[in-house]
Amino acid sequence: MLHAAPHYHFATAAAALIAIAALLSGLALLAVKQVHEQVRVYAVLSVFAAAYTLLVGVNRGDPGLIVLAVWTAVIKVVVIPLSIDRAVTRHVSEHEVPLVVQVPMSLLIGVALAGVAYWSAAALPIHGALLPTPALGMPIALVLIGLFFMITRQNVISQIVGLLTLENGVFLATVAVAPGLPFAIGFLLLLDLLPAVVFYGVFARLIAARAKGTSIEDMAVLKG
Amino acid sequence: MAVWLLIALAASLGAALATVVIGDRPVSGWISAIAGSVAFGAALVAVFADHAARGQHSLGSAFYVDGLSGVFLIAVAFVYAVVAIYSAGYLQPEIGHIRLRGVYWPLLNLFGLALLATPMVANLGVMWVAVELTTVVSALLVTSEGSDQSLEAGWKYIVIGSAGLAVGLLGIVLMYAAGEPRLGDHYTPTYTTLVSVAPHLNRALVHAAFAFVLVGFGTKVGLVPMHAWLPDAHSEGPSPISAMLSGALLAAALYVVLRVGAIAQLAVGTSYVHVLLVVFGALSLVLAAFFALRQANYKRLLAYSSIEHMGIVSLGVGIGGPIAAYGAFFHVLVHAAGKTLAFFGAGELLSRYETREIDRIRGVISAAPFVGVMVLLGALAISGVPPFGIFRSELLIVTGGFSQSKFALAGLLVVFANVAFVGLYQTFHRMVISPEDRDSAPARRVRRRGQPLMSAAMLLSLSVVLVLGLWIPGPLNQLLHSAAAVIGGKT
Repeated sequence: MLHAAPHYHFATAAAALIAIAALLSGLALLAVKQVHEQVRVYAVLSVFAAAYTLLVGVNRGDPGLIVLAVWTAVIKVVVIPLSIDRAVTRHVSEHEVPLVVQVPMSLLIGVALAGVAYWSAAALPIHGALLPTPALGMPIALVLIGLFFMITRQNVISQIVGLLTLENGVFLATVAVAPGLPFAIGFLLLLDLLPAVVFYGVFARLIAARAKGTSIEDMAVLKG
Repeated sequence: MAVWLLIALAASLGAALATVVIGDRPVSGWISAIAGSVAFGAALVAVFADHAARGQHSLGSAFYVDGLSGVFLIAVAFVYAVVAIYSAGYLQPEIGHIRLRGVYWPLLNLFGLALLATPMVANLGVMWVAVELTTVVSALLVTSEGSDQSLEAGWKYIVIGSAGLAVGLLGIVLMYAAGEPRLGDHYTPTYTTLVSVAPHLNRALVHAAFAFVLVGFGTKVGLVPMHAWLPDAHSEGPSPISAMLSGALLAAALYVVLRVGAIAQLAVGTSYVHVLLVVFGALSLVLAAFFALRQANYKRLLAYSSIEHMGIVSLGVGIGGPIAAYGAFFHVLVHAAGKTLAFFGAGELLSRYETREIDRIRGVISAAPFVGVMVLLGALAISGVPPFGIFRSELLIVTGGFSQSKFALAGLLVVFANVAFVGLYQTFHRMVISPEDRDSAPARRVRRRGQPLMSAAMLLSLSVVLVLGLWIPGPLNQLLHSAAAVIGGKT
């Protein structure tokens, strides 16, 4: 026990720091207007998602979670951001995203959403792997911030970044409260791959077909 | 049972692989039509001939088919079969306007595979994966006409659908966490495992889990207010895909909601589950009925009708009691047949008039009598006019509402089903019966000869929705009773 205790404290402290950093990354997303920077903030958030998964995997001695952490780092930190970045450079003329809600108000709303997330998570009697109580506060905050970001950024790529942020929230929730979910590895891998498939399948065609930018203001034909 | 389920899955997977190799040739249509028919036949045998195995795991704990999953499996397999048959005609170059013909067939069969798997699998996580797969393949199918509008519709569908499913996954994760105190943190989250410990599940987590699943998967069902993607995807996708989205995809997503709801009601009581289903169901019914009145595009009109019908099913299960729940599950089947007929008719109109505008189509009955009759019968069927099956299912739900003394909910259904009827029937009557005027679209392709496979698919859908309105076979009656016993049937 004497040997185990310092290890446990380190992991708990590290997890708490990662949770704070992940939440701050989510809020930072609301502060940037440039598409490139939004993608980079997403990559930073994914670093924390991978780090937390690795920490839980090592702490539990679970090789599946360690593999998942490596996979997350490769796909979410490197492959997806690089692919989006390349597409942005190649196709997007307007690199600054038009905002429905300006940055200061977005940040205020983001903080309020985080408050709502922590308040509602406190009602759930659940302990997350290594995370401080309420364990689901940070993941739910990321889900809400991702949704808010998707709704208020008038750009296709920003909507992808919002969706991926939301998925990072769900991913962190899964690792936190159900790290033993045996199927988790399989379907989380799929979860990570699908946006990439979607991205290449539809978005690339969208840009190729229109060749006139990625603002969703162009997408206003279908209404009612 | 496992053998038949595997045959159904293998048929669709085999067809997907074969059509990848064969590419855009007429034989791909035949292969898909045969695969769809084989899958439907295998599903019928699995559910009815092997009914002793219903409610038990098969192939280890990979599959679980009880009354509830049986109803949805039959519905999605039927839709897959008739859509594949119809598509084999619709994809002929002079009829449909599919630009991405090479990928249509593999994606259609993969869509069928994912839809078939959803009600078959026992593990809630695998169920989520199956629904997620439907999003990717069907979004690409929605864009397969290659127009700007179809790309916009596909984009909205992917973004909103994926966000919804991420929230739905959070619900499944919370349901898993609710079982951890009793089952440990390494268990397989199957329905039966969770039901076996339902009274011991963490109640607060189950409340949250069902709410997340209802909102998340409810986005795919098209329940109001998460429905924003649905009218666009249904109206801009090719008509056979619209039929598959409406008749099968919405039902498959609703199945997951009800499956998780069946666990939740045992853990926290029926009233919580029923109230949430009633709220979302009633909202969908009311708003979709009003939106249906103001549509200028007949495919969007049918899309709003789909939202209305999913609202009716949710309302029926939410009203509770054996009669309303029986009616709700019967509604899933007859809606699948009625809505495929309606969208197949819409596909005929679109291919002949090349417009989706209601005001530009007149006098179909004189230009193309068979199509005119089919379109009108489709509109009558989905409006809930006797003797079609939807009239019977709605009557059962209303009767169930009265028997449970839920008069307001029964009244709500009567009023708004009639509002939707007015919107649907007036529109289709105008297009089919009213004589041509100077605003009508040029009838360049109107008088082309009927395509036998498209006509056959329409007649199949028509016969199912009509026969089920007049007669419910004994085994189906038994299946519907056992579905109602899983969720909704108890008060």
